[in-house]
Amino acid sequence: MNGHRLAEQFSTFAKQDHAARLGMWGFLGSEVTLFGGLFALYAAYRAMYGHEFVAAVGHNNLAIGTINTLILLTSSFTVALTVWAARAARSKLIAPLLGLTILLGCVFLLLKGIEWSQHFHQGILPGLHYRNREMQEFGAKVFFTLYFIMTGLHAIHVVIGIAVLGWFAVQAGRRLYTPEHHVTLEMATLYWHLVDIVWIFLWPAFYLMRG
Amino acid sequence: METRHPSFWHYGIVYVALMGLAVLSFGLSFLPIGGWQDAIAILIGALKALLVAAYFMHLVEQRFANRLVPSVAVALAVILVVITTLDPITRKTFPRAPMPLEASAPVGP
Amino acid sequence: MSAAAPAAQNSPAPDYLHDGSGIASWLLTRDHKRIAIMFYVLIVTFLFLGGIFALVLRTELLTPERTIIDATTYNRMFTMHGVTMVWLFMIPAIPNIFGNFVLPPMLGAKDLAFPRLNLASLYVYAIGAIVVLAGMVAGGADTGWTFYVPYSAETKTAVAPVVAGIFILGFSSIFTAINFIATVHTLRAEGISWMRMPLFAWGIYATSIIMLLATPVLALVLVLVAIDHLFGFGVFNPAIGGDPVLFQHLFWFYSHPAVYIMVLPAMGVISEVVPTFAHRRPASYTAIAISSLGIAFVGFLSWGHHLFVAGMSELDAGIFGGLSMFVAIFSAIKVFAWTGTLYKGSIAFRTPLLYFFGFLFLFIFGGMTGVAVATQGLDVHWHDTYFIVAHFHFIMVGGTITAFLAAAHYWFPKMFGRMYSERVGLLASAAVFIGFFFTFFPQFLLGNLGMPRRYYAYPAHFQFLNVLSTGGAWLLGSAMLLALGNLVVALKYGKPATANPWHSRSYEWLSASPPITHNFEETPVIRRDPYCYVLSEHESRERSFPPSETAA
Repeated sequence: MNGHRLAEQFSTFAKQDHAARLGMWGFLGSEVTLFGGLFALYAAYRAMYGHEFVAAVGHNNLAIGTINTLILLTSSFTVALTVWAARAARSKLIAPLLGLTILLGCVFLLLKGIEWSQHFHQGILPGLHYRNREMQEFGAKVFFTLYFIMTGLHAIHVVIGIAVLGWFAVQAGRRLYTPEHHVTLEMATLYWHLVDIVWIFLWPAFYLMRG
Repeated sequence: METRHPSFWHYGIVYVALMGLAVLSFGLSFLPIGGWQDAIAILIGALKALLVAAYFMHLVEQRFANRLVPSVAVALAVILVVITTLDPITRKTFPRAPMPLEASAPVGP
Repeated sequence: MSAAAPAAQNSPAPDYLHDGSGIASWLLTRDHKRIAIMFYVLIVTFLFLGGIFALVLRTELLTPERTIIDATTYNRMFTMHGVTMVWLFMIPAIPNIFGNFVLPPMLGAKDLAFPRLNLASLYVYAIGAIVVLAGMVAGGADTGWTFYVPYSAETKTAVAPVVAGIFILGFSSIFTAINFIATVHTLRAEGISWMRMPLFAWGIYATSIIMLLATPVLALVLVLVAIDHLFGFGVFNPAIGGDPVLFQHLFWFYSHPAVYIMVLPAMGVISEVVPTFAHRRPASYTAIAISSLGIAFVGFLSWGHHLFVAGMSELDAGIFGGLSMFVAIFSAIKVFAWTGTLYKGSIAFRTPLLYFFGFLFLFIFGGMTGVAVATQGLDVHWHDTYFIVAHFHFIMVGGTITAFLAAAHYWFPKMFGRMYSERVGLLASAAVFIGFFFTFFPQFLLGNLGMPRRYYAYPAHFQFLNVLSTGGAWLLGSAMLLALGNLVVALKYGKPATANPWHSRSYEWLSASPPITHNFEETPVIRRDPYCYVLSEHESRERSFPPSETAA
């Protein structure tokens, strides 16, 4: 299938592609409000526990967070290039670009895992399991609970994104995407970009805002 | 929609801009300017997100409806964040945040 | 009379009910109409389940102390009543049954934009419902349908499966919403501009926006409750500094707009029923259409009026109290437009229209009390009393149920190709209204006297009003059975319906009754609006298809 077939309810490919894009943007919109709810919690708790949040942000590993930011931005670039490749009739490039994106996603997850295990060793765990002795205030506990929930939900999205891109990499190996028909590939990349955008805001929230 | 598509170099320029903004945001986060830092970090983040959405996600070349949907979603998310945060900031009668048990011990007679 | 309708020449294409037989042809169908029918069966089943819970509750409240069940069972019962009615019935009822069935033909389309996603929505709904039911069998939750923390995190009852089920149901909502939005944008037939869409389509469109953008926040907040309940990851737990008021913010960010998920499609139904039976163009098409979007938008900005006594800040309470009143303005615009449509119309007094009158009364009464409780001073008095229970039952349950039944009767000939008994339908309609009124009107009085909601026992001097309310509930239950029994009987024994028995001008009636799988024998090309009652039925039909067909 892969969108090459015109479904009976549509009169033209242009309309079908428009519907597909609109549907995907609708889905992304729902993701925006999903993370919006979490950022609302973050902002409200930061308003309650300003100093403790600042201290906790300073405790996080700025180096890993920043490297991960650069990795995800790069992966967004590589995945955007797949659409460029499809449009420029260079479909041979699509599979390698997707592979590179997936690789970057895996490195991101690896670094994230290292960071989490550092936290675990310091007794920083979510909710009632929090054991750290140095930062005992309410604000620190809430901060790290939010940290695990928000980066955890984001990591789940990364994993899903990797799976989706992997599937498309296999499809791309069969040269299914042409300058005219690549809307499904484009939608998969949109999902990956969303994952990147979420991280663009998680990065300052958990690593940068020490002011 | 099937107008002219961005070339490889367009994507490249956006990528360089994104990396530059990230490095800038990283550097600025060391300035001792207190709360202004937060505003700067959020603004740069918003700019980066806009770049990704507009060029990597091709929103600039999309139809109006496709731009409208994410815009409404972002607007609602912002409303949710702002009004929810406004609550603890402006509480007068009620405590701004939960207090540890010892601190909130009975105050009555 | 329709000269054209009987001449629906024995079409070669079978209608959608007979296009393929066997279980697989239903379970694997992509036809929006068959999916709608399957939703119909499931949702009505849950309506009756929720109704049984309600009757048990009301029977228990017949006497001040124990009548038939103990206090814990009572707590679980009202939770299950709320969960079933909100998420298994009211949220999906009109969009997933009638929206699914009617939206594509209303737009002159063959199907929804994503038929497979539509089927997925059905299965996700079924799975979610099964998980919720499993939670009920496992004892059910006793938190109330709102799952307020910290109690929902601490209680030993089966919160997790119920919450998980609702989480899954959310995906069904999102799928359907994406589908409807894409359909309205891309599948309008030639000639159906935005301002020529039937008003029901506007209602469904506005609903879909809310479903799409609010549901994720509910999903989020339910996950947060579940992981707190199961693993102690309590981001709202006061023991680690969490603030339960923030839970309420997020919960009502979904659950307040959810009221409009229920009532906007209901308003859409009403906006179709009134012009059809008044045989007249709506008093203002634009006002009704745009006020739907207005309600959808303002609905997102009024969640905080549920938090007036929760410990929210004074400023937020003021903002939310003011914004909430805007909803009443948009609603009033609609009410005036509907009643204005009746003026000088040639009214056909059929069952759907009688439901409209019931709707109008309940909606205005419920709406006005809504404005009252949106003022903080009064809300402090009424909060968590039966006044609130009566208010939201009047406006969202009364609004949804009457419109649901109106839709069930109005589109019955289209869906099944048969006519129901008008006499029984009118009787049941009157009985539903009377039953509803006697169930919930005494609750306004009880609440104002100070009877709290969700209480198992009450002082003896409240008994008279409670007995009245319970009697009303039993009447309401019987009336619902009568109404739906009437329809079920008509499935088999009803007279065959013509293509357009109500002589409506709306586009879905251009199809046969019941429609063929692709809805129309020929793709419509519309050169008129959907409420052109100045044109004869024949003429409006001629202006709905390419000229060649009518010339032949």
